[in-house]
Amino acid sequence: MRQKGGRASWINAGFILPGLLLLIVFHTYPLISGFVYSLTDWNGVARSFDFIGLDNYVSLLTDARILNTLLFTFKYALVCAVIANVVALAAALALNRKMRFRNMLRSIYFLPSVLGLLIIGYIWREIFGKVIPLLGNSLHISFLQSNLLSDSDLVFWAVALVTVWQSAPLLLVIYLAGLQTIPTDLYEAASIDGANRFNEFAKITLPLIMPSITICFVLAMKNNLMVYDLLVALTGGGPGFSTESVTMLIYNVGILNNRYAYGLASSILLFIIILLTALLQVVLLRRKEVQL
Amino acid sequence: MKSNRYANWAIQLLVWLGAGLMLFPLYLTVTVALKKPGEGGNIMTFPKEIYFGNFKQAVELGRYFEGLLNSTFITVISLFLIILFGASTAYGISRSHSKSSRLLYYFFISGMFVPFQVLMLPLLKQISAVGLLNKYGVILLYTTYSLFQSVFLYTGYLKSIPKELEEAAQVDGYGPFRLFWKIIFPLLKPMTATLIILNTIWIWNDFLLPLVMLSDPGEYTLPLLQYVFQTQYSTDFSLAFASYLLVMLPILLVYSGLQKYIINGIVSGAVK
Repeated sequence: MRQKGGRASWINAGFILPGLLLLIVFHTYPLISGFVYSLTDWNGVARSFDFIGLDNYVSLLTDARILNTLLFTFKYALVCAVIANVVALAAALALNRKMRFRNMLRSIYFLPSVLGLLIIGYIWREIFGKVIPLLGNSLHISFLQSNLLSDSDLVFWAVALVTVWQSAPLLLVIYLAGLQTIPTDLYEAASIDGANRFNEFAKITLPLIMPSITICFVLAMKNNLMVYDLLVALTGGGPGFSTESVTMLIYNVGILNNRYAYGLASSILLFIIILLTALLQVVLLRRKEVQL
Repeated sequence: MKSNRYANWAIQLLVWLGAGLMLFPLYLTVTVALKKPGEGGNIMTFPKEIYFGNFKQAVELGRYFEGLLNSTFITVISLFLIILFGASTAYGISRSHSKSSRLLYYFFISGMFVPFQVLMLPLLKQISAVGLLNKYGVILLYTTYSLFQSVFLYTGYLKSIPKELEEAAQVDGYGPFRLFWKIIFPLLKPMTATLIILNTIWIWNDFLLPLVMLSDPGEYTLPLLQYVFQTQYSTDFSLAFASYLLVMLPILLVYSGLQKYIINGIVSGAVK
């Protein structure tokens, strides 16, 4: 018997099965086994291990280094996502005006999004090591005269600068696409009603690009929470552990230090954080969206 | 409206300053890479004479062509499998109308919330047990982790293809697999192009997955080689920057030719 769509269901299964197999073997299974082993004291090599319940999680959340890493990752993700979105939206508003070379400017601005984060990190490391101190010396700005990356107070902002530089371009182009869907007659009507520039932005532009803001903010948060390459290249997690991200922690603890189950528990924690942040953002930001 | 014109000029100026800031790291890379080591002077000034020796050294010391070959192999084979698996999975899901196919769809999409980092440790045990800690294992993982996005994008696109087309082809005696390959797959071309762009940039630049998966240094990709050679580069900046430029070069060349398509592809992938 054939279905309404015109063919037997075993044929559809034939199309789906290879992909489904990959997903289960390399995605679902490791997720489940990772969770199960995070409840044990296995070191990754020994033949035997015991189930210790949530002990790994409890010791994670009472370990000062881990708490610092969690806090840094979350603060980094949030601060960089907010700044990158503000910068990207401002730049998109500027680039949305009629101007010469607009397409060329868009291509220039977008460039950092196609380059690899590791190489970007290495190049910026030299900028912090060589160019900025030079600038600090000639302008007599004392805090710029030494390498910002080895200053444990300022390293956060140095890393944030590079993150914004790298992540804002993609957001900028998404905002630009969002701005171009707003009908121009809305602005004409507003200016007839005597609205000023600020009112136009607050009452027309902002509500109508709320969907773009939701997308951009969720995207930036997710990417920032997973950060690894950029920090490896810029700081290696230092000075001390001041810029260690959760992904670095998973790698360092689980692979380099052989505290396997402990590393697994950090992985599950990262998963929970990413999931909760994504859900929270969608709920909070979706409320503010309007439809034309 | 004089104040308006000043505001306009100020915005123009800011926009061009911003563009300068976006290009500055690239400018620095090019100038340092072209400088003779030990030329001295300010790091930001243009080289007194253009010197290509750094590139020659970077190619030899940094095993550039080996890395280029490995990166290209992994990227191209992965792309081929990504498109094949993505399109066929999405096609199967979109053409069956049972409840379970709807469930399967969400099962695929939800994978997006579990990044590689989370799976990394158990996955490594599992993969080393079957002896896949090599480039083939890397390719399999890229194929798997691209499925969430490709199934999502292809399924959305497949909805717009009319059923009548397939029914007509069936009347003409097309079997299901020939129908997919000859009729449906060519129609998916715009989505295929988007997915090729998104995944090329991801795989070419990716660092963590090859770092943990590749055990043989002969299989190292370009970013991984940069990481491995950091101690050598730390003493010779001209060599380091020449090497960075060489790694970025393929992407820069492709980008300068296809910017419009690349930007649109990445944006549509991110927004949907």
